[in-house]
Amino acid sequence: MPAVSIHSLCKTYKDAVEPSLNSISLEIPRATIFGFLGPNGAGKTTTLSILCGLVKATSGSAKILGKDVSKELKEIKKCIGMVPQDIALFPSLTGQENLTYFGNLYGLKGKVLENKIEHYLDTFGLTNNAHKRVSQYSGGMKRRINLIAGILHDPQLLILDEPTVGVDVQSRKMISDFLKSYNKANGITILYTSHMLDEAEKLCDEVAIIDHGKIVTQGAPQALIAQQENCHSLEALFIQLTGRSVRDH
Amino acid sequence: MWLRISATIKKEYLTLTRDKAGITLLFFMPLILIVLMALIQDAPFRDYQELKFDVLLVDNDQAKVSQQLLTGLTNTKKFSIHTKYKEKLINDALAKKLVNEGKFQFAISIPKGSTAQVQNNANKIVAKLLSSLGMPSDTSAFKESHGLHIDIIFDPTAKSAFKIAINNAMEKLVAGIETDLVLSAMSEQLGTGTGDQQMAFNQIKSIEVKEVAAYDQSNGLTLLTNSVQHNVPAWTIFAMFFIVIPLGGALLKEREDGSLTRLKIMPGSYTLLLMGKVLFYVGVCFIQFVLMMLVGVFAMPLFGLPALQLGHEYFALAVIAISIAFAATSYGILIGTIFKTPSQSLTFGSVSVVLLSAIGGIWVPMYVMPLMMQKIGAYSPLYWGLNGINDLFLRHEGLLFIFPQIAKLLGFSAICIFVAQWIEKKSFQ
Ligand SMILES: Nc1ncnc2c1ncn2[C@@H]1O[C@H](COP(=O)(O)OP(=O)(O)O)[C@@H](O)[C@H]1O
Ligand SMILES: [Mg+2]
Repeated sequence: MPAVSIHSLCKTYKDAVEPSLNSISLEIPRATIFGFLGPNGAGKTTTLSILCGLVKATSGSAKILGKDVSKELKEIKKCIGMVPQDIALFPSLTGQENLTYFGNLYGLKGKVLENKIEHYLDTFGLTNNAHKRVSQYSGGMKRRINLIAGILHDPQLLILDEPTVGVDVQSRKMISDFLKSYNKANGITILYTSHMLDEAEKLCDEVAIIDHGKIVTQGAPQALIAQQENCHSLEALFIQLTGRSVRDH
Repeated sequence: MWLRISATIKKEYLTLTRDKAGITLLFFMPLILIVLMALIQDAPFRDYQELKFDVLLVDNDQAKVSQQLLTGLTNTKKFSIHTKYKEKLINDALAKKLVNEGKFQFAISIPKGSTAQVQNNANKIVAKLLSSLGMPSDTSAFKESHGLHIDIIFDPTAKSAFKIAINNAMEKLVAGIETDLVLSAMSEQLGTGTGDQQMAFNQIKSIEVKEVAAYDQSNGLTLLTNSVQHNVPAWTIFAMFFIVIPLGGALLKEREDGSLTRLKIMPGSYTLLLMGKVLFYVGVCFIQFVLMMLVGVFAMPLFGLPALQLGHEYFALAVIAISIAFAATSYGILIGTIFKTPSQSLTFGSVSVVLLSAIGGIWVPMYVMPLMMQKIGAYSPLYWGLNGINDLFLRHEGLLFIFPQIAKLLGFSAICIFVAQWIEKKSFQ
């Protein structure tokens, strides 16, 4: 059973003329790192939002770990971790307090939760800033806390929406190193979107490129690069497939 | 489940206590507000106190009874008596017309020959009394007669409580006059009255008049005893409803900073999180309430105002306070859900609370407002709250009596939450 299987998924937002997703089909095997790549407005966030039940699909189906998102959302929510594109934290609480609250909402408490938070703060180099308010954090620090909040409950599938956007090189490296080891150590499936194509090329077992709500191509990065003539990197492939015009949505 | 609620309460607590400006707004502003309002309205309230009912008196008798009735009514200081309208002496037909038109709340008509009748009655009683005591007296001269009766014409829209109060007051007054005449007839028959007896008559009269005043107070004609007694509960409720501003703002902030998104992708029901939020803010409102009551009781005298009288039903008071808190908090949740920007919710929230308070009798007591506004005001949750508290403070009623107000407040709260949930569901696309 694949971690994610999507069939002919369509989404047209209310009052929108163009569909945001135009019949997307996708299968993500378990224990892989899957990169979902595409220019701004391609439909990446929309797809992820449907997967975690924030947005309803217009038609088509999506299954996570064999469960249908339109029917078994409750069960699905328990086994996926979601790291939203926008920082989703309470700015007036400290990093530690944010994580404690979210841990509580996942039903974790006491020593178990404390140890977990301590461990992850250490992993992400945040121990010294744990008691500062999130509003005083740098962009990179917020991103890292945002990520921890999505993995406290040990999900089987981790979904990240542009986790490395707006962060410095060090934070980015820390995050991508973590994702790699998290995937290796626990066999966790990771689905993530990014603009950082060189990062994706190194990190991902498989990628899909999406543009205008349609999948343009899909496969292992090296295989895709090899298929296309005059292509030596994922970035070159991406430009060839999606064009050079700037997307302002 | 409880973990979700308690964690949310703790989170709200941390968020609020770090917002120093928010705390000041929630707890200190209302205290200043009630003290100021009580001080400012101290003088005008004395005027409301002296609010008089305009009463028409149709005097077909023109003798002792009508004079005594006039004095009796005037002495209560609650009525201003008119025997003329636009220079014209009032007769029954004119009185009926004026009252029907709503120009006067009621009219009293004293039938012709009332004095003669009462006097006749009195003489008869005295004669009977004397003959039963074996003293000679002439009873044959007295005609067969009935007790004194006067007619009261009410405005068709007058409330029945008002009518009953007036009827009772009149009965007392009339009975007093009758007694008075009997006693004076007796003293006439017995020869010259002594000074002592005269005093006794006067005492009887003054007792009657006092009873009139006491009665109409307990029936809501003059509900309010002073500025503190109106302003402290009224502005306390107002301040409690202002919780919609920080609460609506907090909800919108969660929407804007994205934390709402995270809450929604988490397993477990969002309703429980809302419940935690509601419970926390109900607690905040309740603390506001207690603080303001304490200020009413202990701080008002420092400003030369009377202390707030809390009545005796503390449990019922806590119940109505919590009901008001639920209504206010749920209203805040609704506003935070309906509007999509903080400035919209801020504007609508504050303006709507001010409007609901104005029509709900917070600014000036309901009974001095025009009838139509009173009818509209009866739908204001702030009015339900104030009414419930007044029932406890001024009428000394208990939990059972204010149950309708509690039910209305909690019903309003349930409707707000229900609508908020419905909107939240509908926006899911
Ligand atoms: N809530 C919404 N209502 C209407 N249109 C939306 C909404 N969210 C996204 N869109 C539109 O859907 C398209 C895809 O958006 P999105 O999935 O956010 O793209 P990406 O994440 O790839 O940048 C865009 O054209 C965007 O304008
Ligand atoms: Mg996006």
